[in-house]
Amino acid sequence: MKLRWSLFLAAISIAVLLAGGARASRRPRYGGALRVEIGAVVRSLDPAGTSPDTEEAEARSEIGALLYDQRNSDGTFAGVAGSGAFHIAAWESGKHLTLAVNENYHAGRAFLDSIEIEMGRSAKDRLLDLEVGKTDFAEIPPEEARRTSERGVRVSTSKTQELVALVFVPGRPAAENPRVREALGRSIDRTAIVNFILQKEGEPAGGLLPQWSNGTAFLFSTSADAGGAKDLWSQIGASPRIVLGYDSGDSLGQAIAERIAVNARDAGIALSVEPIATPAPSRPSYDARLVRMPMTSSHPREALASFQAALVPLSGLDAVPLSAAASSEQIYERERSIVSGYRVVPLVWLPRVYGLGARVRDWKVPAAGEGWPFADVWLEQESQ
Amino acid sequence: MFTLAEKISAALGTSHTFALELNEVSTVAAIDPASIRQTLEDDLALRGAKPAAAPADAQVQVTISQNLAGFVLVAEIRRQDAQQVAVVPVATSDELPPQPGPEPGIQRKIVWQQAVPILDFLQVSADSHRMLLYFLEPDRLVAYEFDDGAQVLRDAQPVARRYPSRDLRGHLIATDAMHVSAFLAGMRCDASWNPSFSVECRENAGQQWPMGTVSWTSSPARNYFQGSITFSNDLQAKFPPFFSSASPSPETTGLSSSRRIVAGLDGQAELFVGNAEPASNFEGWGSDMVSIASGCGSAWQVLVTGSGDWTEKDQIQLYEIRDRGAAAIGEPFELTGPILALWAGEDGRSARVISRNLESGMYEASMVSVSCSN
Repeated sequence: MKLRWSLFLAAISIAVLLAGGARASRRPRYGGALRVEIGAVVRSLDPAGTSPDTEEAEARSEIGALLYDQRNSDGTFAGVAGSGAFHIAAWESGKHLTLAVNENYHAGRAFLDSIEIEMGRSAKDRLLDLEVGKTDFAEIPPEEARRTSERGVRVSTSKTQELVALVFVPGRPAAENPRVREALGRSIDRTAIVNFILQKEGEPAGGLLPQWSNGTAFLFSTSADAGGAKDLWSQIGASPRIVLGYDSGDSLGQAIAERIAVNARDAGIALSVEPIATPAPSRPSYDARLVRMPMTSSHPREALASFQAALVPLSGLDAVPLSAAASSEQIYERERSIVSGYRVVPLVWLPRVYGLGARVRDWKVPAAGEGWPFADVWLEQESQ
Repeated sequence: MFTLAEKISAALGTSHTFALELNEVSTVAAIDPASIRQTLEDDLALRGAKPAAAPADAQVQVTISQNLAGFVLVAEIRRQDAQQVAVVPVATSDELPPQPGPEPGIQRKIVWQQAVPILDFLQVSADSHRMLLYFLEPDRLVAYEFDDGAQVLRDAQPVARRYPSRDLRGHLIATDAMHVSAFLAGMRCDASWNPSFSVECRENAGQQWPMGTVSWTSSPARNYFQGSITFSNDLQAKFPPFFSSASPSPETTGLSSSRRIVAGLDGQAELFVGNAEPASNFEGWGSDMVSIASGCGSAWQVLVTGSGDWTEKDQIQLYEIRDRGAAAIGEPFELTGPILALWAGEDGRSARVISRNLESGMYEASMVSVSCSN
């Protein structure tokens, strides 16, 4: 026994005794200011306020989840600002927000002392600041994830949780012709959108829910059928010209719309793209538009119910509310009934992509419907 | 499977033969497709439907898929122009994923697993037959009694907390099998069987947590200790605030207990040898450590958790402290998730480990010891 133990000791590696260098810890440490950069320009933190700008609305929701402890049944924030893990310490509308930790938060004080949020930072500036360590956290467009990672930035990617879909505008002549809708729907090469535009950060979508949610996404076809689209289009008498709109500030939407135009052209379909101003005009000049819809919940029934609620006014769908006890089969059937008429054409599912600084610890990528988990994040002490 | 056969059978209607095709879209399904096919064909045969090569009356395509709740079997039944879909959940084996084998030197025995967080646990023998297990959870102290290995009793009593914390720490000590004390978040809770299980909590005025022959001063609203260590003669030694600390046992190492390593809040593990200034510091150590008397050699040995954070797997590494240096002994013992607590065992020859299995999400209580046989 003694000999074997001695031999074993001979194989030991001597730990290096050095001061300084990278500092390791596992248990969370308190303190520090998390530096955050966002693209949105948030002009008001009023919980009752609304914003036509999707990016601003999403940022307000993320900030609200840090400020408020509770929500109303409709998802709006309840109670007073500061009842959450953080409270407002400084606020310069549209530019900068400082949140300070709520020392008496009932669920336990957050580890950070504060969060500094810089607004209106372009995607390019955010990436650059992540690279040089000027910021600790920034959301990254999915199509930039691969490039960002290759440049040495720490990247965290969620499951796919945002749907990009093409929605026909009710009442427009082109949209009211089922053959037009089907021809365009069949012509779209979703795989090419994922591979080339999204740089493989996403999945082709044939249904409304991603595979991980209800487990039935594979039942929907996502393959392009240019031949079928061509045949259908040729059966239409006076072929209309389709105008496809996308949100004016959405560069990904623009790239996808332009790709769809290429697919349409290959199938002989006349389609042009145009940006949609914010707020959207009351009498649209476009026949279909691209929409981006984040999942509000991981649960398939809740996610589908929220998609359906958003799509009904946009597309004129006639859909009854989904039962609270809807089974997987019923959820699938509802999805199928929504997409089978081609009023709504699912295109791709996107993940959320986050760029993180090296000192950010205990980052857990938020699930669909969850906010930034900054109350649990802590900062590693930097090398000295 | 029975339910799926039932649904398929209903969808088949008057069809007497079906062609069955089995696919997988889930990449990690712990399900055997061959056994699914066999069971399904048997169940359908009981209902009068027979598998057949094409052309059959109906085509049944069954796919092993996965949704938010777990694995599901999705059956598409095509009959003439009609298509129907049936989805049923699949119960997979509840067995745990295989644990990595014990690395040379370090052995781990899982004592308990549960979904509720565990802050600390104790395993105390009442007599040669009876054993009591105590689990300190964030809101209660749970006691189990086992008689010859069979559970005969379970009781739980609430514990009070003075302060909330996002990294709540707690510690249990036993006077004997029937009396244990819990320390957490500014409170001390004494539990006893008199004759039923009862717990009384009061404010821990001095915030002292007994740790063997010394006590540490906790920071009740935080996850660390204030740095002052009180000896049994009431003398105090001052160190920087720390997450954990270890000193040698004079009996087994012959070293003075004035030597002490503290895992500081800055991520540094520092060795103090009777002075206010550290004699050395050790790179790459995690936040938790305990001294252990393994019986393998007479040097001061310490078990240390890995660095990283709670989103990552963890490890336990055995070190020998000689003079002012630390030498890693053998390979680290890998765990499937972070170690949330590491406390010295009552016998000084083992350590209590609370970890979270990142694959199952369960909290695991285990005993870790060091073997000399390697």
